Amino acid sequence: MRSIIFEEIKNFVINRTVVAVLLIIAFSFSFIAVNITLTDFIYASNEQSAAEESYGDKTFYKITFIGEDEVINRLSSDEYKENIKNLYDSLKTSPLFDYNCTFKDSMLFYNADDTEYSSDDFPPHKKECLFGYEEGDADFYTSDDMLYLKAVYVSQGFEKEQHIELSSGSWFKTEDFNVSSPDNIVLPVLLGSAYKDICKTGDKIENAHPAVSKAVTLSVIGFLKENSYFYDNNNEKTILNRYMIIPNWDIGYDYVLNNQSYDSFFSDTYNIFNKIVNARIICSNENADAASEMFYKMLNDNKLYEFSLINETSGMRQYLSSLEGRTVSCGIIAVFMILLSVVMFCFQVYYNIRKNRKKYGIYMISGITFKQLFVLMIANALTIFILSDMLLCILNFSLNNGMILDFGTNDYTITVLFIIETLLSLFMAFFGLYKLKKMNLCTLLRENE
Amino acid sequence: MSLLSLENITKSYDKKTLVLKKFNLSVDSGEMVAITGKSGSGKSTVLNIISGIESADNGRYIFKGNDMLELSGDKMTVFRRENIGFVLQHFALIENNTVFKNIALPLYLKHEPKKVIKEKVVAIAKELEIDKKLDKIPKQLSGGEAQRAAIARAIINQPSLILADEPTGALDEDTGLKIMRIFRKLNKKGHTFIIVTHDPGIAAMCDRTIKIKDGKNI
Ligand SMILES: Nc1ncnc2c1ncn2[C@@H]1O[C@H](COP(=O)(O)OP(=O)(O)O)[C@@H](O)[C@H]1O
Ligand SMILES: [Mg+2]
Repeated sequence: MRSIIFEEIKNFVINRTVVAVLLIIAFSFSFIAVNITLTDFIYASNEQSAAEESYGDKTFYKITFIGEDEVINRLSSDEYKENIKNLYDSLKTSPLFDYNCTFKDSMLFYNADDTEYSSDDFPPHKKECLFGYEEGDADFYTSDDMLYLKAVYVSQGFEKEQHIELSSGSWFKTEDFNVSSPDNIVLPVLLGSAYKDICKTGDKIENAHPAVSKAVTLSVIGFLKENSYFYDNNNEKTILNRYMIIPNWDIGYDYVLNNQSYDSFFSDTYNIFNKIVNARIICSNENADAASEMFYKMLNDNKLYEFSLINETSGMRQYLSSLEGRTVSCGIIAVFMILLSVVMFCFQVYYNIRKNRKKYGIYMISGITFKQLFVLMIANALTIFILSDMLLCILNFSLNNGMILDFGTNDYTITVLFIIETLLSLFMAFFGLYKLKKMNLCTLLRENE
Repeated sequence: MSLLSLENITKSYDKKTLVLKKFNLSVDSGEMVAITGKSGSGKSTVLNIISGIESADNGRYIFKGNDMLELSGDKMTVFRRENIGFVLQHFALIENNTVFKNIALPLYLKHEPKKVIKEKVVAIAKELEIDKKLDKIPKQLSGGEAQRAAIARAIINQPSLILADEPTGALDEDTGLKIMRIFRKLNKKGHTFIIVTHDPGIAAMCDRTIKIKDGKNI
């Protein structure tokens, strides 16, 4: 039997090379179309569920500003510090909406070799910094004089995020969000599960510089469960295993210095990026318009005209529907390609039987069983698929490396490929058997007459 | 001893015209029977029904005591493989395969071990005097050699019955006679033969002749 199967495959590949090549190409490209559709679909539904999970039925606004560097410089200048603080205070106390400022940012650690910092200040942290990254990843984020630690600055109520739990220690308390003295600042931090190996609750990370020029002490108060995650302000799912969680603090002390300038910790805290640009305004859908109106009134009161609101949720809705459109059109092409290759496969089976009907007739008078015929038909199909798989591998490898085309391989690529191939093989085999049954033996053997 | 019997067999391919009309045939073990008749009279159809390739619409068909019209699918195939060999007018050899592989085909399908296959094929090829041609492909054979290769394949499983549909139709007279002598030799060894032919000379060499006209015995 093995030699008969071998004969069958040899006959297919050698005597009908053109058909074989066409089938292989048709199938490979159909599959690429299917796979791209699938990837798009997975991406779109992930986005959709991320949106549902993070937005729920609320309206989310993001704050942005119009203008470039000069606007940033002005809004960040001491002149506007007080206005920013006032805006921030009124955002936090508005009854119409919730102010939330939970954002990913890096925490800077300065290089020990930098002359401004003594080498004693720095060394312990390098390890922690590097620990924030997957292996090899850190090089991207390090520069000669700085290291960035992955950090998330959180508003109060962060513990209410659905997918976050502590594995040990305790959550931030209300007073943790308030810095009451400019000296010996201690900020409590929670660490992602990956840090468990190098830190423990109660550890102090001295002389870190969380976006401020003042030395502070970070005190570890707990660890997150592995794979805790939340959706950040860009609605990006963020797994917190390698992050440090820091409270987004307010200033509770008198920050005006003798020379009428501001304390540097205050200045950094009321940086527009920290308090305003990274913030979200969250309200019920009914309150959406009123919330927006109120926000612009607050801007007016504080003479911060450059800011504006972006409705994140409606933008997301538009984006999702455009994704959906793309997926659908991709799907139509994929279906068309699959149909095309099914037609080609049918044609190949039909053509094969016509061309080799005498051979099949002889097999039949020599006592080939249904099962054996089935195996022969499957062998034809499998040959095509094995060669197609090889082509797909080569294409995927060379195109991806050349950055010409991304097939968008996803978690299901192999499974789906396998399922499609199995189904098509079975289909081809049954179609072939059906055809053979319909042409009776006399017709099959009549070849030479 | 009766090997097979067909009783009142009717058959139609298109449900309208009857190809066989109450056809009867009884063949004893060890007989060599000829079936003659005009082209289109239903001779091949009779062979197809005997072999189980086609099934009859009506009637009874008993082979070695088995009700053959009850068998179907792979059971029929296996029964055919063990009991019936085919020889056809145009030899029916696979063109790309060597004579050896052609003869061995039924054994491959039975999953016989390589060694056994080799022994059996060589023995039969010697008997039919084509052992020098085993590694040739059918195109390189003469008509007589090709037909002997086909006969070798037909008898490799030692079937009790051999069906030959116009076995000499594509051969010249001398070669045809040679094939008939081979048939007779095999017949003496115990194979039963049913030979379809329209050549009266060939028919005369058989034990008896069944005549068929428009699907009926005459
Ligand atoms: N597979 C078939 N489908 C339809 N009609 C057939 C088929 N095989 C044979 N016939 C018809 O049956 C009749 C008998 O055919 P056949 O048995 O081949 O005759 P013979 O072998 O005596 O020449 C013919 O009329 C032929 O056209
Ligand atoms: Mg005929």
